[in-house]
Amino acid sequence: MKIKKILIHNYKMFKDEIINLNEGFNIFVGNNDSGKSTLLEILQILISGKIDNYSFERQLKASYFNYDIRSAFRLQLVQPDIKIQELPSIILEAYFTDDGNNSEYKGTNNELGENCPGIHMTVEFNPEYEKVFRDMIKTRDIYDIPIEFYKVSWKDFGDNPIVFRSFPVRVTIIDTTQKDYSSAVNKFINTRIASNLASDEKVNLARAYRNMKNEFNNNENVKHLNERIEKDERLNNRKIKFGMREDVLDAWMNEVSIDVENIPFENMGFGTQNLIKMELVFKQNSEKSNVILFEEPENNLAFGNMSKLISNIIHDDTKQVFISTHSSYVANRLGLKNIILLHKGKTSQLTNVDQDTMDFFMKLPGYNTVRFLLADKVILVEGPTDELIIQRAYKDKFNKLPIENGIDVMTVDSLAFKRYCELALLVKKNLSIVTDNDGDIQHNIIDKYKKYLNGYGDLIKIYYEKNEALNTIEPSIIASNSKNNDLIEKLKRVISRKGSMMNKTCEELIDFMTNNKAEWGLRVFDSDESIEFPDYINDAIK
Amino acid sequence: MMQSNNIVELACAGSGKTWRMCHDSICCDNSSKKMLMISYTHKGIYSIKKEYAQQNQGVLGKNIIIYTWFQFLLRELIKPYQRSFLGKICQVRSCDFSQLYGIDYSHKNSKEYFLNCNYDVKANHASEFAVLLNKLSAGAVIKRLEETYSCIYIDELQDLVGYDIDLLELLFLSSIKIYCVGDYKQATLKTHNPKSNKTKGGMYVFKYLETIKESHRLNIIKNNTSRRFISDIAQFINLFYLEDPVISIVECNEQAIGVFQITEDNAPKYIQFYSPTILKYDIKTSTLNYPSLNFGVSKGMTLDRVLIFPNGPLTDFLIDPSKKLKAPDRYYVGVTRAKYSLTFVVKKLIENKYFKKSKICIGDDEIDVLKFNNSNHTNN
Repeated sequence: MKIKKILIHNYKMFKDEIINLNEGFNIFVGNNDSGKSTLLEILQILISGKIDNYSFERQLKASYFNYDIRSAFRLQLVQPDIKIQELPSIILEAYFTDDGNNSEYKGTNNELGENCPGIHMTVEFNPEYEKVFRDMIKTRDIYDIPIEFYKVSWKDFGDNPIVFRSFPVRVTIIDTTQKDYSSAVNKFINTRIASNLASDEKVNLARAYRNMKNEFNNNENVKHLNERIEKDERLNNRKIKFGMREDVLDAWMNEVSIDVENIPFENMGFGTQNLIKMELVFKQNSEKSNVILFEEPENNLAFGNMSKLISNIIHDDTKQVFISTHSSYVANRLGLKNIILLHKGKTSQLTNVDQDTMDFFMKLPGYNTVRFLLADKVILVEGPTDELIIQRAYKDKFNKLPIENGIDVMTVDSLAFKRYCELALLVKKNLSIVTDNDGDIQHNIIDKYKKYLNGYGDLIKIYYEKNEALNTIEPSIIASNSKNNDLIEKLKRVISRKGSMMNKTCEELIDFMTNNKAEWGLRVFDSDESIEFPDYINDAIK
Repeated sequence: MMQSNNIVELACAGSGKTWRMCHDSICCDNSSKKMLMISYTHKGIYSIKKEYAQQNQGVLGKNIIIYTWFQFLLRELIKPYQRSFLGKICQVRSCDFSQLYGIDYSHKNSKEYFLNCNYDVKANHASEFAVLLNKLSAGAVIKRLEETYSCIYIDELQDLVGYDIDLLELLFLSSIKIYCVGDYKQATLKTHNPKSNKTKGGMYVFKYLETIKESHRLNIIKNNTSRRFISDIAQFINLFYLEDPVISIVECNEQAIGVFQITEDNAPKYIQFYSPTILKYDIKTSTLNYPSLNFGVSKGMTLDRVLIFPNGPLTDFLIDPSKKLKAPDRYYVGVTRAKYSLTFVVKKLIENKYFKKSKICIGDDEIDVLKFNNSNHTNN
């Protein structure tokens, strides 16, 4: 059973949102506070009733309610004449695929009236407290959402209560952001390992442990000892027997330890712990289908381990995986079409990403796609020199670096330009490309980007040197600074180190610049004096 | 999905119908789907659970769901698609049994017709509501059931009345295998007070099902062999209903077995020595202050020995058993409980063609009794 969508009403930054989910991977990408972790949290609450391993119900806080709704409600409470029409409530719903195998959870008891299996969860006022509440309103003792009078309920879409223990979907959380160096072994065993065992495996371990105790009690030596005690020792004239203590069901967890190549598990690094936990989850052949929640896999994992982990995930299609990440590598490898972009409680999806583009980034996962997706506006350039020059040009004009205005200047291999154009069209992002004409405008620019320039308005713009003779940025810079002698002298000063360029000809200058691309760029960027920039660069930063 | 073959079993008291039902479900438990077992009362559910466990190492099966009739209606049929009628979700709460009698002034098929003000479903209209919701949801109610269950077992079929029968017909026509058992002679209870289908439900249910046998793919089986009681008791209870006589296949070597009448003054001795379970028609019948059960309460029980304090109609029946009782169902439940002996306490021992003078031992004592004699009348 896979989750096909979730509906969120009034939870934290989400006011009213329906998010369609992928059956395989779901990559939540967004800036800080955009709701990535909240989405993982919602899935956890819906499917396990828990939040951070504790019952959600007992952790209920007014801050779980949508901030706007909560402030509006609090405003009502300070009016001279309190008139409340509706108390805030939270609704969370998970819609599952209707494959005919889990119809006992099926029905139309959901906000959308769809006939499928699912979970409908509400946090709402419990009418049992109606009188107390009304009295407190009268005496003005209510200052905030009165969560102490609220009840939480989980029902399936057939309107029957959910029993999480027997619900056919299980959720596993792998959170690499949380550090837990608690010293108790059992806690590690329990939270990191035992909770990921299948229930029959757990039963078998518990049984083995009981058998072992039983064996001890029936051991010849113990029996012999008991016979002797029975004869010789009496307590209050009553018989005494010696044996292992009767124990609770999960007692075995306190007694076991796990070694990895002779190093106790609890002494291993956090990343390795997570890697092992992950392997356990993926090796599991449980009857229940699994939902895996994975918060920022790039944290606490070395790059090699992370890519190992990602391959593990990719090769198992029985699990539904939810990942929040800032890492382009993770996003590219798992497939850009699985990205769900978050921005202030709103979502958009990359479902329609073109297959070639997705394959391109999957094969070359080093490209900074996430950074691209999160920027307000992007300027793509071919090399570090172009990047430095544009940054400087922008700073000269606006007295700020472009990133301070949400414009991200990214250096990208020019082969990837068209791929980024595809992405820009998909997410409707303003994209400017600054590129060399390489001596053939028709071929290198007009023909190449035809597809993106016609019919998409101003979304994508290409900036290039109009004069084909100036085939790269170096001759262009020289040309735009050659209008009079002062300008060319200034350029020479800026590019020189200890006056090294002052006596060079323009051709020699171009030679030096072409052979020391990043270096001259840096010198321009760092210089106290400003030079002239070619028109196409000025246009690009307009 | 194809309609499947259904089984309707008319089974006499003590024929082991619950045993067969559980046995069938254990044998059929191989699909990934669940199986549902339904009885009208909580007591019926208890005996299904007990019987099932006995056949399965003391535990219930993983795929077995056991509900009362109203749990079934509410959880599986009404709640999932309540939106189709109410337009709102998660409204229906429970069942309201308080308005079974009296007049309901609500308009047919109005919200008030099906629900009280607390959104509890009125028991009298629950199965009607289920049938309506199935129609309004374009069959989604039954489809959901088909996807969930491979087989549904319904015990005490004779308790179903009114719209229960329409619902039953929908179930028969589904792809789920329906296996229902019952005994029209024990139609002492009914799920509600119906206004419709008066000749289709209750004690008439088997006769009605006979008429739709072909269209609904029913395999109707009669089972009149009792493993509960001795032959004398079987002969005696056949005096209550002439149709479908019960045959006993029980043999035993206990003392004082058979059907007897004893006088009130011998009752204390008899009770002390044989420790029978004491039954009566209802609370109005005196039992000399001995603790006792009403016939209705004893339904489904198997008891070693039974002592009955008869009320007026039953006393008349004992004087002349050829005169039939007007409503024999409840008496029938009472007299079909005992394995070895069924004894009536009467004021005077009056012989007739069925009951003849005899004696039974109570320890070293002997007391005068009337003993039911089947040998002369086996062919009557």
